Amino acid sequence: MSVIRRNNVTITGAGSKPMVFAHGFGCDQNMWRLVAPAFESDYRIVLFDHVGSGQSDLTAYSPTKYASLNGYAEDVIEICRELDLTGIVFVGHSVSAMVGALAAIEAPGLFDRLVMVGPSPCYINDGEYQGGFSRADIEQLLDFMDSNYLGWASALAPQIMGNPDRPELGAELTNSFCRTDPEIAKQFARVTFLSDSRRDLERLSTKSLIIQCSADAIAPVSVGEYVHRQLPGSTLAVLNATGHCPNLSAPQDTVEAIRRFLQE
Amino acid sequence: MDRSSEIDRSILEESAEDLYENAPCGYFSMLPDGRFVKVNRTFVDWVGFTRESLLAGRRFQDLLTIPGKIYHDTHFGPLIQMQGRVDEIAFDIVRGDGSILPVLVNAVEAKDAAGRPLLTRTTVFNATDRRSYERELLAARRKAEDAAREKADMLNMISHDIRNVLSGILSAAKRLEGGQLTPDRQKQYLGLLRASAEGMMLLANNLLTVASMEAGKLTLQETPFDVDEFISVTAAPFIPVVEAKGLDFRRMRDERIPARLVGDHVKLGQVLGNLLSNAIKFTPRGLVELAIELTEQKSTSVRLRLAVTDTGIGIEDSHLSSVTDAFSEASTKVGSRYGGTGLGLSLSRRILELYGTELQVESKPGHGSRFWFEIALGLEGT
Repeated sequence: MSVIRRNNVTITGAGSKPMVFAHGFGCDQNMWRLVAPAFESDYRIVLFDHVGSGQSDLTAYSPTKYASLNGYAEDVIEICRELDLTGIVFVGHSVSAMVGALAAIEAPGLFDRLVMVGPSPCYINDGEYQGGFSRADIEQLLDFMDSNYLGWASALAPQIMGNPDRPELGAELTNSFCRTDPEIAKQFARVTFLSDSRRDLERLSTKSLIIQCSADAIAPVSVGEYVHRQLPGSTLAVLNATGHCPNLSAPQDTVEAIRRFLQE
Repeated sequence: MDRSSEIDRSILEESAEDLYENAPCGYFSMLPDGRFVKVNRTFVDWVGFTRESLLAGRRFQDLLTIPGKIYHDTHFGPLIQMQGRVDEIAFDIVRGDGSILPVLVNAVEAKDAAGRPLLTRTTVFNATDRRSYERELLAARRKAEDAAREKADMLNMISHDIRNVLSGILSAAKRLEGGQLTPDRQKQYLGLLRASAEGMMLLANNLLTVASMEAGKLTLQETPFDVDEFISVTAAPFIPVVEAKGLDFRRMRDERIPARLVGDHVKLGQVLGNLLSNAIKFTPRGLVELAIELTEQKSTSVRLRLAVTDTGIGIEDSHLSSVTDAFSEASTKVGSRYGGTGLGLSLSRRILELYGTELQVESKPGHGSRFWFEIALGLEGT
């Protein structure tokens, strides 16, 4: 199985310096549709879906490999090596900010800069540290997800996933950017929200930008500030936008923050 | 335009507003960041907040449970922004009084001339009943999937059991085929062949019993039978293997037991067969005993104690509870974990249940085990 097919890698852009975009828990590479095009004239844009999301190859999903964020970081490194990328600007949203950090710790030579959009190294409150959630909240999330995946049962999803060359088969289905196998979605939620990468931050040496929304229920400002403190030399950009997805709700601000950082 | 059509239209206009406010679903419009700008009366009544408090800057996501808030920010919001609409997303709304309202939400985005999102128009259905049906369906599906997995595991375990027995048969047959064996050796291999085949028969009978049990057709077939014959038929299949292992195989019959009784001797033979098979398997030397004792004599029935005792390896205390658990678990589950042995014990328990009795066990590691049960059987002709 080629890595390119496995992660549904799409490449655009007229530049030579690579910019790799990674989506977070929930949807797929479409999350970057309002941001990535802004960099197409200057960069080589690489988009992909994490295994288990979007149009990735669901048969490549392994509960063991993806039992931690390291499995996802491994894939990022594999994609970069397969495409022979170096000097990469990696842009990771939500959990993929940490996936990018883990990849950059593992293979620092590949990455030039890291853009973390709404990062959180730990979603669970732990003593002084306020991640925003309790373990019970996350257990309830997993249970709650059953309500939204019933109708999306595995009977339906593979039809879409299995016909990546015929997108019209899925075109009629709304919510398709977030459709996936319910069990995979639940494991991804568990791995995401129970992850604790706080100790990894100190091993990250890649120059980083943290893009933080001013009111984000999933990654609160205090968490963005925590990441900023843990990464000496990092830049913190707090946007006026609210919510967890400035790449969709405030794409212009997001693009400008990234541009400024890349010119530093 | 005549007068009557004007009246009709005014009624229609009234109805549109009336429908908006009082429709059997909630309607609201919100800004792209989730702040309510218009809500209908049904929604206001359902959520138990005043219209004013909803319109004073409160956001839709503020009404959701914590999992709902996460789901909103990772799925609902991005979907609206990417495709301009979402269909049938389930949420739990926390009402003003703290109670939970399960809802199903559809939303469509309204844009301005430049394509910028202006509003999100949303319908909310009360999904209380639907949610509980869905939960039941999901539970049923998981149960069915578990059962299917157990069956597959059991098939795997049983297949290994069958293969072990078959390889014994094949190796005995090969030796016999090779010829040049002393009559004693020949007899030994023939005995092994027969014991292996008897083992297969026991397993096949157990599987057939599982099948009828699962079809809900496991019932007692009570007929008159001869007690001595019952003992010898039950013991016969095990004689070759007992001899091959050099074990002492004792059969004890209480002389006070009447010659003929009424009962399901086939199933009782199956229970004793399972117990004997295990006893022989776990006894490297010494003795295996099948004993039938009279414990009570009545005018129309007798009460018997049937026991299989061995001087085998015994069962550690820590294991004893898992053996007794095996009696009480569903048969396929036991079969999936312990193979034919577990299946036999579990089935024995189910058969004895039909007689309103249960299997007992006592064991001393290194000294042996004793499995027994008591049972009431009718006297012939009463």
